[in-house]
Amino acid sequence: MSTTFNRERLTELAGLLCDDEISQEEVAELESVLKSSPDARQLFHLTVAVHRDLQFCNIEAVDAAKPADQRMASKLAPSDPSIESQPARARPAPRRSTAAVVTAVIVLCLAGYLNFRGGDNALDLLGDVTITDLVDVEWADGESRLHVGQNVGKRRLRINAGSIRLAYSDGVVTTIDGPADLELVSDQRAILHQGQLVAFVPDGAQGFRVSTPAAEIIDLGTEFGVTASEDGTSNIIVFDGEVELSPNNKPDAQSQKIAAGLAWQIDREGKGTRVEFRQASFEVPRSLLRRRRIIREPFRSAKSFPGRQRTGWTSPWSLSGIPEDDLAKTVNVLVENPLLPGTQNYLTVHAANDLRAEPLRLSLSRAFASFDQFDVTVPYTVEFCFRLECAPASIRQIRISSAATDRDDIDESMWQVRTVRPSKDSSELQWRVYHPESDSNQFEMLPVAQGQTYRFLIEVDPVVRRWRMTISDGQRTIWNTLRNGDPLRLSSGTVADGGLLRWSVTGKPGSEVKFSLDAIRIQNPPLPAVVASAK
Amino acid sequence: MSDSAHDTFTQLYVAHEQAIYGFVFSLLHSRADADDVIQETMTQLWQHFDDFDRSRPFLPWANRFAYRRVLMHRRRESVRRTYLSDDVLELLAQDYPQATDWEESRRRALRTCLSGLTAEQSELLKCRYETEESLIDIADRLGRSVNSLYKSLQRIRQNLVSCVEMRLGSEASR
Repeated sequence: MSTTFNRERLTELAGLLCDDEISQEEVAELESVLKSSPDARQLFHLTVAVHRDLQFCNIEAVDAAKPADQRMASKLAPSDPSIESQPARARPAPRRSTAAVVTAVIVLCLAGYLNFRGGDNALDLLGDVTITDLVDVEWADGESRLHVGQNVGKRRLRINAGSIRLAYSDGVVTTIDGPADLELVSDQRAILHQGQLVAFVPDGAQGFRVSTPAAEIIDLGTEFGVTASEDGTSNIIVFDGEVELSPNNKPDAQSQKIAAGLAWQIDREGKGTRVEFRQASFEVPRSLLRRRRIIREPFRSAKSFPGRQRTGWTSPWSLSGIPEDDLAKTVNVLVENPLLPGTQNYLTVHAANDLRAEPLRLSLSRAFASFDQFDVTVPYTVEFCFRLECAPASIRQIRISSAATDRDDIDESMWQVRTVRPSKDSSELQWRVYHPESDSNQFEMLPVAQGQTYRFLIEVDPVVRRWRMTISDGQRTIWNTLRNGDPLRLSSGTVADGGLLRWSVTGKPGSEVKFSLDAIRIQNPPLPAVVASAK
Repeated sequence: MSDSAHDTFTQLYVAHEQAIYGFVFSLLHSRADADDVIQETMTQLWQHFDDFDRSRPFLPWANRFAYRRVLMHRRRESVRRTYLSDDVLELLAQDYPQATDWEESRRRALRTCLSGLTAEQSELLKCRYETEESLIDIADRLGRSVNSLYKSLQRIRQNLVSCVEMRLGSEASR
């Protein structure tokens, strides 16, 4: 619970602050009280709010509503002569009797007031901060294992090795490289107790702050790196833009702006020295940072589906079925048996068709090309997991493709993979890709089994108009090659339009169709220059 | 943004505008500063509304954007005005009352408390807050010292704060 404080003095200081009449000594006194007690902060808010209300409320109207004998008929008369005689701004000590009465009244109502303000509803200054990548992470002893897609919340992340990439809801992206100890405080602030951090702060999110034991770095719209060493030293390097740097342990030191191409070292005493700009030491976390254009689909809860348009996707999911009428479709986000270990939920689509004459085709699609300026004109990868939940014998074909438009037309696809049957009468279904080592039309096959999760990786290079498909069931992997892969079809649309993913499953007449998706991730790989220089 | 999203944003913003303004004002304690930041905040909210998870409450999401703009504004204006440190601001932001009816309840309580002031006290408040007359001018007009006048003003505000706090407390305990 909070410490005691002088309530009258606090309201007085808050009043001085509102009137811009406060001295530096009084600011220090006010800050000390505010730091010491949540109740002091509540009283401060109330005082400032009353100050604000007085600016907006019609005091005259309130005055007019009073009984006539209480109203002011003339101008102010001099007030209490004892107050008149006080020296300039020398505020007397509170008269004990008055202060005691006020305190007693406040204590009596405090419990009710705290209840009113809703103690558990304090504003969480940390919005969604999501883990978007984990690379060879070795968690520190006692640290919870987190997974990609998890919203981390306000906490410390301690790793012995590896890298973590974190995405803030306002576009800030940070990566840490172990061993590291990072404390997430708010959307605007993180404390790097130890390790190496690189941050990218886009326009509109300037002001992001990283504190280390030695220094505080305020971003002014940039990309920068910072280390916090065990000896208390911090190194700061600015790759792009500008940061404001303040030593922590030298209160009289002025903050200074550090421009791109410069590096500084701050020691534990707060002494700053310009050092050589060596970006090589930041290349591991920076290469992870450069994968900043990542589109993920974490299936969080059934409430936000179907048709969800969030987590950066610019358009909702689209689900269509043929025949359109009398088709019972369900879409759910389930929590059990995720397709990929470590994910929490996955999407399942289920449709039943009572018509015996017509096959049932169920298509699910998602456009991503315009996602957060995602660049489909440079190489990108598409990853996801797919699981057929019904018997392969009841399925005519599964087709997964990327297209420029949402027309479920094979000629519109830029790239695709589909299933085939080994023979006309076979109940077996197989994924099929061109054989990687063959120039002729030989194929690699992988049987499709009910309940088996298949991981897909599609690498797309629009520059050379090639794509490569890799499919794995965990035991066996098949793939085609860029050399022999199908050329990327660009004739039916521009590359910029071509960011539509479609999963299309066609069942036999009278059959049910059910399949699941999970761990969808689309990203630009690290920039080649960064990767090359990191080696 | 679609028409329906536009309508939803407008409804949510209008419903919470006072609360967002109160949050900003409490961190900047200046009407002019708060007005500037509110403009910037609204623009940011509008630009990011597609990212807003509508299954969650609007106010905390909006206040996070407002907090960011407050920090940036303080950095720009730090030479001109005295502000509390970032650390204290962070604590204040986290502890800002989140009850949705705090604004209305507090104003209702203040109106009642104002009606209990003496005529002299009301007049001083009117001079300070409605005419925006400077304390020096008021003191000059009334033939009082600035210090005495300021002391009176502070005491009135302290009493009002105590009165409002008491009324909010009794309202909550009912």
